Amino acid sequence: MGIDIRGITQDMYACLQCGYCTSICPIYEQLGWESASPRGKIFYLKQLTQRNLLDLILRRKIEVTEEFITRMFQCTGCGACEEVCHVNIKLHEFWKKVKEWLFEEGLISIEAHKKVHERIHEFKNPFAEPPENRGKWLPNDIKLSDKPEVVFFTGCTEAYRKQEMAVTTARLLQKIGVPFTILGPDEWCCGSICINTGQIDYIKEFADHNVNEIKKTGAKVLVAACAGCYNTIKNEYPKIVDDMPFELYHVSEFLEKLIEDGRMEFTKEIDKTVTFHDSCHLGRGAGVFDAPRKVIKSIPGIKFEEMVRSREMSRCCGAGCGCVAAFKTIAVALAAERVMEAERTGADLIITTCPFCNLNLNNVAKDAGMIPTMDVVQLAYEAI
Amino acid sequence: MTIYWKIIPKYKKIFTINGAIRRAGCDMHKKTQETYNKIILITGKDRVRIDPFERRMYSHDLASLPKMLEFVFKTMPDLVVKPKSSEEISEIIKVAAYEGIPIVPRGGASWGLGGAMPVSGGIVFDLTRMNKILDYDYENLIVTVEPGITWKALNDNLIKRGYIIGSYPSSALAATVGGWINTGGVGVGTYKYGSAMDHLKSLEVVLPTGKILETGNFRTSIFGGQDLNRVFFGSEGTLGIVTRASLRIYPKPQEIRPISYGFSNFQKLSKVVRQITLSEVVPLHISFLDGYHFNFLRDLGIQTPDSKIKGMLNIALEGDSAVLDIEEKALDEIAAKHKAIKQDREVARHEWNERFYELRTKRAGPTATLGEVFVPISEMSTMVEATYNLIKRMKLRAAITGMVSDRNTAIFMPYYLSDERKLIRNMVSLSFVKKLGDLAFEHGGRPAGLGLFFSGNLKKMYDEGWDTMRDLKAIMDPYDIMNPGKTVEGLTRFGVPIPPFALNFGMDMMAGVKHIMTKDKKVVSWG
Repeated sequence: MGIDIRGITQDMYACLQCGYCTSICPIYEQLGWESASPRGKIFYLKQLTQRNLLDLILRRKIEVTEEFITRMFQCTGCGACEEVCHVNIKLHEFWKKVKEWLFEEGLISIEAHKKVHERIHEFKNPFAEPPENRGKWLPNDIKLSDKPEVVFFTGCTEAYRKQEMAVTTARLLQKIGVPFTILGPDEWCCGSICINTGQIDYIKEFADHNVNEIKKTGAKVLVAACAGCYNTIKNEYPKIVDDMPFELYHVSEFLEKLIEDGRMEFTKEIDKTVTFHDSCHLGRGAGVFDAPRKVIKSIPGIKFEEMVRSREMSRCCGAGCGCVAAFKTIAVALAAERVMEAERTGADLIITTCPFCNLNLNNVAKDAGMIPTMDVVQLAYEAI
Repeated sequence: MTIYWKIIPKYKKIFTINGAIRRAGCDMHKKTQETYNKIILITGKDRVRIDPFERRMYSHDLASLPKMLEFVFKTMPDLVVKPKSSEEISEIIKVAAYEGIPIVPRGGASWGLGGAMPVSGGIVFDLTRMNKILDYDYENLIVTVEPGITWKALNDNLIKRGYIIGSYPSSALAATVGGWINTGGVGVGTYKYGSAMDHLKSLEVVLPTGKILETGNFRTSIFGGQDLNRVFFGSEGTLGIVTRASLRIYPKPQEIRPISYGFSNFQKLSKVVRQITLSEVVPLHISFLDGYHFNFLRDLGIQTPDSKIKGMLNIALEGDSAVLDIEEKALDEIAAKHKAIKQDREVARHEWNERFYELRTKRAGPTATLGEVFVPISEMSTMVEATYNLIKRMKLRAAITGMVSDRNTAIFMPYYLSDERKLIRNMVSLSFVKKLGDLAFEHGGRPAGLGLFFSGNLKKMYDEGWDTMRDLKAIMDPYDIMNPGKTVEGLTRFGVPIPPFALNFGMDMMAGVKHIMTKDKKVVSWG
């Protein structure tokens, strides 16, 4: 009896409907309707799979409606629900499977998500920028190595929208003396947004391409600047690519390693109070909490204040999972909440590790005259 | 609408159980449509929903009920409203009273007795949006809040400011202030600070006639006259809607120190509990788990203590560190007399953090049903034996958990695991909860909570008092619109009450069937 949506039936029945996820879900916080909460969505999915003759007799009308589909995609993929789950449901995977199922049935109704999917296929990036321009951010004074130790995986956001961050990372690596290279036009989108919106049809092609290009350089270390790329390469690629002969670091982890190995030292003092925003991809997604904190704390003169919701309980900035593209108002409201929370710590600056969080938080803060957000690399570069 | 038509062929392909698809829209009869039109004049369109998709979400609480019950109860509300103020609620109630439409207040919906579930449709008030802290009075140690804030959010907020709320429900992450007050809240910290009743200074309640009532002077305690807080405490939303609560707060203690003792035998545990209740030590919280609970956790691959442990007593001490050292020593002495094995700090800390996660084991079911009864502390060990016997007779996979809520009362929360897809087996197992209630009555206790499913117990509990309670309900709610069919009487969708004896007889029959069925087995693979 019932339909098995990609093996999530077990989780659906395990759900206790306790509502812990509801209390922490950022989307529910904004919309306030039960249908927008993880609990409500699981309840309705269960009703869908349990349909039988009784529904007809009782006129229960359990249907896949337009609103149901919208609700399934109104999710920032932050994974906070998984942290508080009473019965240990892997909710992040759960939502991905539901979205994949909807995609396979052709039920994706969010135009923005479809567009992103098409653009990535055509242009290899979600911004519909020409793929050959991907390496154009690289200034002339930076020399790429022929025998690189490190491949710097730029990511779409830094390559097209936040070039100054990519430049800073490259300058930092050059200054420390790490021989590195970039893939340039041969770097394709990591596919994070497609995976998170369930549109996984061409992901294997993309993953294979990226891994092959990295192999070609001969480098043994891959440094990802974007938390989203890092999480995807760390947790999704091993499922679809057989052989990944390189070590993967997020740039904050790499900086931590450089400090530990004595290759980098902060000399300049920065007299600022900062707070750290755990991006969902790097924190809950990939489990990296301490590396960026260690880097920040090792800068002389810095005062570090933790936000109320930090680490595993961090609050989503609202940009993830195509939310900023499809549901702008939700994304903006969530970013505003996060910036206000940061301001309450008395910090002058928010430090983060994800260019997408950076973009979203800064957009909101700029309009409202609130404190700016900076990447951990940019902070490190100022102190070196 | 265009997208909708695109869905149809796909939909048929996916869901071929009945292949039926009807146009999405509302199936309101005319009266509800009229009410809707009136309500949107009060709240605006954004905070009222009339479409079946959203209304379906509000047709349940924690319990997973078979659809069959919808022949008897109309669990789906006709409207869902998210009010923002007591004035709005008052206005809507006036409309509902005029039309004779039931009103069901809903908080976190983390209770399993159907209190927040409509029995004959009507308007559900989703109060979770009224979640602000209105006032801190640090000098008199009082906080004033709206009813929709969760206890966890409130407590976290106070901790930041150097204060705490004394006790909170074990579902504090989801349970709201209004919800716990209305369900007669007992939970974590009750041993030291008392129940939700002991926190109440004053309530603002919208009565079923639309009148807004303030129950008392909220700065001081109430001496003399009727304590109206008591009327609404535990009334399960049948007498009015709490729209504001003033609660006691306490200075933040220096330390909370969890301590855990393991026992090779559950009876030894109950002896220690009785010794502790007779001692001078007043812990913040005392709770217990049995070996079966750990067995289920082990089945799920979750790390547990030694399998020799058949009972685990978790105690949390709170206060000044120096005092705690003395108290801990006193507890150690009591425990040592009964050969308890003191657990590591880490284990104790883990058990303390798990206080919000009593039903971790549900996945092993995948359905878990919880029974909750109060028994006098003197009967604790006999009740343990009786409960184990009942579990054995009914051939269930069950475990005992519970806590001690004060020096007089032990709360038993045994739960059993079943599979809701095995309809008959699951249905007859439900009688366990009723039988457990009977056991509690035998031992001088009573079941906890009434809601919809145990409203028949009220007469058994109070006898003559039941008539008075019904009279009170009739006086306060002359149009019978405020959460009808709960607490004082169980109502069906046709407005006919369920006679308690019929419910009891049915339950006993089901228990009989369960006795002759085979033993419940562990589900190996499914889904």
